Amino acid sequence: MGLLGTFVTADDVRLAQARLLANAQGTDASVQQCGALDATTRAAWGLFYVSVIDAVTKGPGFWTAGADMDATQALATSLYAWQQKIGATCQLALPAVDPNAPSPETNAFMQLARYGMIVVTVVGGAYVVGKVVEIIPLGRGRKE
Amino acid sequence: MSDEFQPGIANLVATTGERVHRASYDGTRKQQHKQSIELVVQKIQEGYKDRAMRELVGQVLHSQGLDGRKGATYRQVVTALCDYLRGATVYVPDPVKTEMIQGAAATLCLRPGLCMKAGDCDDQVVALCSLILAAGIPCWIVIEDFGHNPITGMALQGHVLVGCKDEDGNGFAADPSTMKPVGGFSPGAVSRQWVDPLKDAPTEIVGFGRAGRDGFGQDVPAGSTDVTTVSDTTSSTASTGSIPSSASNGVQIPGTWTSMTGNNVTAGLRYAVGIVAPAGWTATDVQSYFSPPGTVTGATKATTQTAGPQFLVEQVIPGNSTTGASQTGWIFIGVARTAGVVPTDSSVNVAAVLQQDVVPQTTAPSQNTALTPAPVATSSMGLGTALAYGAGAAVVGGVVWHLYKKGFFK
Repeated sequence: MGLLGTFVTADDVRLAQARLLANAQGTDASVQQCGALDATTRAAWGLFYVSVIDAVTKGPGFWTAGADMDATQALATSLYAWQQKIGATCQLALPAVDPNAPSPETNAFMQLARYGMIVVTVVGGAYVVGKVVEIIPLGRGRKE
Repeated sequence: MSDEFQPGIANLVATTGERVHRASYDGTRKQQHKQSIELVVQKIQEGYKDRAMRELVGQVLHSQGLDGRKGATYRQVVTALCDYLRGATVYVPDPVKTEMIQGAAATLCLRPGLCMKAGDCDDQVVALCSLILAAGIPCWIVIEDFGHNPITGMALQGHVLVGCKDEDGNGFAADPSTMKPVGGFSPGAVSRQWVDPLKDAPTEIVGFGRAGRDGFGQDVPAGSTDVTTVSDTTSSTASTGSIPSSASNGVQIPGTWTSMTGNNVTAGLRYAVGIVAPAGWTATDVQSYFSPPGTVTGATKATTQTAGPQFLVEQVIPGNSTTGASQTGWIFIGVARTAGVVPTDSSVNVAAVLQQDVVPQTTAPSQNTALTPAPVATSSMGLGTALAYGAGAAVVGGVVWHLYKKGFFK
């Protein structure tokens, strides 16, 4: 959606986290079988893997879906970098997944529909509130 | 073409020993569908009792916090498994002029050297149905017929998806070939046929594990050197991490692990830890004690770990030590979150801390790739939050507009 933000739901986040989990587990399996990886890199990967598991286990919240999706995408970006780094030394069990490839929650039609929903809420809601407020007796405006 | 490069199924079978089923796919459309469904059923029956399938189901559901003991519903479990499958695979049509159906182990990469993450609706249904059945939930293959093109008269491409029934007996759909939420069936199908993949399957009892109590159910050959024996026994003094060689005194785990002097762990590395815990503790208690915040709850066993590193606990298995009928010996495997010494305290005696070694790589590494940082993703906002803001803006806007019309701002 270019300059505009992306609206996501908790289900979008859950799906993104499932993808992230699958890729992280596959990469970890590759690391466990890679004798060529030095201990420092292996330990750093382990800490990152723990952070991915923690994020996925916690799950998304209804009101925090946006922040949760941002965090998930940040982890996916980091995982991509890890896969490229590990792949230079080890045989990856799965190909690196580009986190910026189109995903369902960024589908243009879906986003247009969600933007439309918000516009309707604002405009329609304002109209309804205006009509409701009309029945509340208020004093007349200031007189000169 | 050189001898080294000989593509094709015959060479694959000859060099890897993979089992490949091949047959002609001629005949009427009805005969072809029957052939496909029969192979789908066969693949599901082969896959759902796979130990690795059950293992994967446990991992997925555990990561989502779905536990039958805490009221996880069929729909929740099916949704979690379907989401996992979507995340781990891609939808790709069959190869040209080929009806290809792969087993769940291939789609889910459960075997070394066998990883076919691309699949069409048949393959996705085989994988999902195998997962759902492995999770103990009945499921069906649902064949959707979309009739014929009203203009050309040609038969429209059919579709297969998974059908389940919830605890109340209400049917719901799980279509791993699309991104539709688990729930109702999409309109458009002229007819739907539910096929029970286990209709002619035998009922049997299956037990996993070895007589030597490896606890992991791994297929470790007798006399294999690719295992390590972990003990949970302890002496009266601080543990030294001694590992008895006899299987009867310990639990065998796959792979090679090295005993750590002084029970020191390094953050980020994977360890197997043998402990003796208080009587009455369960595997969940062991996990809780060694995971943040390190607290075990319960009227008679409440305690908190006050020192020592914590772990991402991945597996907990019973050790050999017992007190009466109560299991007290445990082995857990996990990744250390922080560095430090795993201490013995008033609650838990630590007998052994082993660091995971790695198997020397036998396959060539990937080609060197330069590290190219990916662009930063756009910012997201929760739809619920956005609607709440929108509703708030609507209220304020409506009131302000009304006041304006009433002349309050003149």
